[in-house]
Amino acid sequence: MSKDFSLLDEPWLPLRLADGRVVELGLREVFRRSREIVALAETAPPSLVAQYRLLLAITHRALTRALGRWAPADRVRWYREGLPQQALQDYLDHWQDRFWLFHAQAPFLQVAALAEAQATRDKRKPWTQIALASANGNTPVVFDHAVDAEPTALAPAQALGTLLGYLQFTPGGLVKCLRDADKAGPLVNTAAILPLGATLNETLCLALHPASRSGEEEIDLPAWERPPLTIAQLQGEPVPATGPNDRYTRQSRAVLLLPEADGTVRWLHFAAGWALADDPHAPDPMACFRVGSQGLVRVSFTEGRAFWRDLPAMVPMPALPQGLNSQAAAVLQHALALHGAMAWTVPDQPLLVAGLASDQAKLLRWRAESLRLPTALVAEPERAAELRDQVALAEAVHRAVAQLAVGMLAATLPDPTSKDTRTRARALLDTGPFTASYFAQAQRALPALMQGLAGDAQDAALAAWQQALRAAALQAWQQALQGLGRSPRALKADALYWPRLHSTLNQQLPLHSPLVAQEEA
Amino acid sequence: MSEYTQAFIDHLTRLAEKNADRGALAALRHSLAFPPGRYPKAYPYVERFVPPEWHAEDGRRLALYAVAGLWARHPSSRGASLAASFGELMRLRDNAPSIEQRFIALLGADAEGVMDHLRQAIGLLAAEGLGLDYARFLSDLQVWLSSSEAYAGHTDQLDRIRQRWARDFYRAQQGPAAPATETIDHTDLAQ
Repeated sequence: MSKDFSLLDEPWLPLRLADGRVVELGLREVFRRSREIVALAETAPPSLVAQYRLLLAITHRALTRALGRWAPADRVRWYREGLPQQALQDYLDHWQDRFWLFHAQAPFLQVAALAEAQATRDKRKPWTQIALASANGNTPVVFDHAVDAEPTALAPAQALGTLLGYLQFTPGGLVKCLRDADKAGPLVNTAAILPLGATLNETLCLALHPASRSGEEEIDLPAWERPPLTIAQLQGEPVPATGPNDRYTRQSRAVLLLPEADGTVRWLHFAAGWALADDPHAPDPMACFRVGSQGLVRVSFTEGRAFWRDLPAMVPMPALPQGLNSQAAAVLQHALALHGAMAWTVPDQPLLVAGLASDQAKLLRWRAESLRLPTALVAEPERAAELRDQVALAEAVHRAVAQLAVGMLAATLPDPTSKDTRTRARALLDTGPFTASYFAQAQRALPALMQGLAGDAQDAALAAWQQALRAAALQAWQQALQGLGRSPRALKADALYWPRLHSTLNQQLPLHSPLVAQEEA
Repeated sequence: MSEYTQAFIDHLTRLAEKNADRGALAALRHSLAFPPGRYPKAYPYVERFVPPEWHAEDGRRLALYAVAGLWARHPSSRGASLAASFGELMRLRDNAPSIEQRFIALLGADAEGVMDHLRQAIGLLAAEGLGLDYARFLSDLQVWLSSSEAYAGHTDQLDRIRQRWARDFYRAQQGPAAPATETIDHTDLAQ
């Protein structure tokens, strides 16, 4: 197989320019024009995150190769004036032979050995094997009518985007080739977080991980700087990541794309990858962890759970005096360090939160969200702690009001006082719009709260937040009521719980005007 | 509550206050034996409040006759809604379940049947000497006695009235010392 489709020169990476156009560019051009490019324009969240990680790994290695180490002042300069182009282009030139999508010995992020290995050489899989959004095998789906025996043709650029997302987010599970089961990709079931700048150049500077320690520059290598994977490595024990560069480019599955005569991809070879061993002491730089009932939980996209409820896990803040503390992603710490070095002159830090949630091997949903974090909020730990308290307040109000709503629902069912009835009522509430409505409504007030806490109008912001939570609770209550209908029994339950609802809200949210409450009643 | 509603209640009040027209109160009281708006002897006292564009079965017209009849039965006004007064009645009668059952039946009644329940309810309030806010009662009844096809949003409006009545009733029934908080069980509701 001759070499074909260079990632450096072929246009493959979708990007949004400042004028709103979306174009595809090769890597050389991407780095050259990184100050004109606003952001990556990939629409599939896993691929989007993986593409940013690829660019970060290249940037880190190029800087390491050219400079060895760098100081915070260098990052500030690059942020303002652009990354050193010479270093980046030299690096790409140096490794250009490892950036071919199709290559006989070292295809990019693939394993050429699969073409020769006894276990895989005669087995072809359709490209849907590595597409997180597609069905293959016995996966039951409604709308995807792909047939494994006759896969559609995929352009190389799309195949590459798909491969990148897959390697980062693939869940662990059965592989049945070279090994029975394989470990998950580095970002499995994760809502990955990334600080965004106004341009791609700024984003890369914000999210760049620190320089390797002196003498350790050649330890944390990306996939293209390592020798091509061998079958023995694929069959070996899981290996912990050597650092972010390794994580960002880990070949968690062995794939070999098989080009058709016209350059498209229909088939591939597939096998267990170079398994990633879990290391709780070296979490992924883009993963946040919140405190769950049984220790730290990686923040992911849970069904029906509004993402901002995990905001305290995303914002670095002072440790609680007791108990477990949530862990913000390392990549945010890097961004804040840069803001600190620039004396917090940039008012807002937009965050991209994107990823794929899975349960075992079942892929559940993918999402991409964005949040704007005022930098002043994180510059002072007390303000960050105040934000944590206010998000906790939203949770507490929800808990208390949901408790009352369960009582109200139970009162409309036969035998309202029995435990079973309450369980049924709780199930009714959980399946209804109550929780989603409450948090969706409260979310609208969140930007104002964050801006207020970051600025000088803290008291007004807190009062407005409490008012918003009250309105959200009342609306959610109304949603629960609508589900009950208007039978006299439902009316009675509502009437009995209505005063308690207000009493609870008054207790939880003391900063409100009683006049407003009366009008609402 | 419109000025128009209040003007009608004022008109009824004058009929009773002056005691000038005993025949009026008697005729209106007697009209309760008929469906609202069907007793000709009540026409002189009510019909002048019916705008010409309302047809005979318009819920708003029917409500004027219904309220006039009920007022004549128990001419006592105060700033409490009918539901609140009824809740108070239940409290005064040691929370007799029969009062609640009557109220529940009233809440569940449609335009056809609601008058039967209201006659009984007003009778009970009269016996206990508990007045009510007739102007508000008239506004509510104008919705209640309209057919659901009368105008868009009628059903929602009626639902809100029923909800308000229920809240008024139970708040008054529990009195000023209603329990402030729900017993909390600590099952985690958060998702």
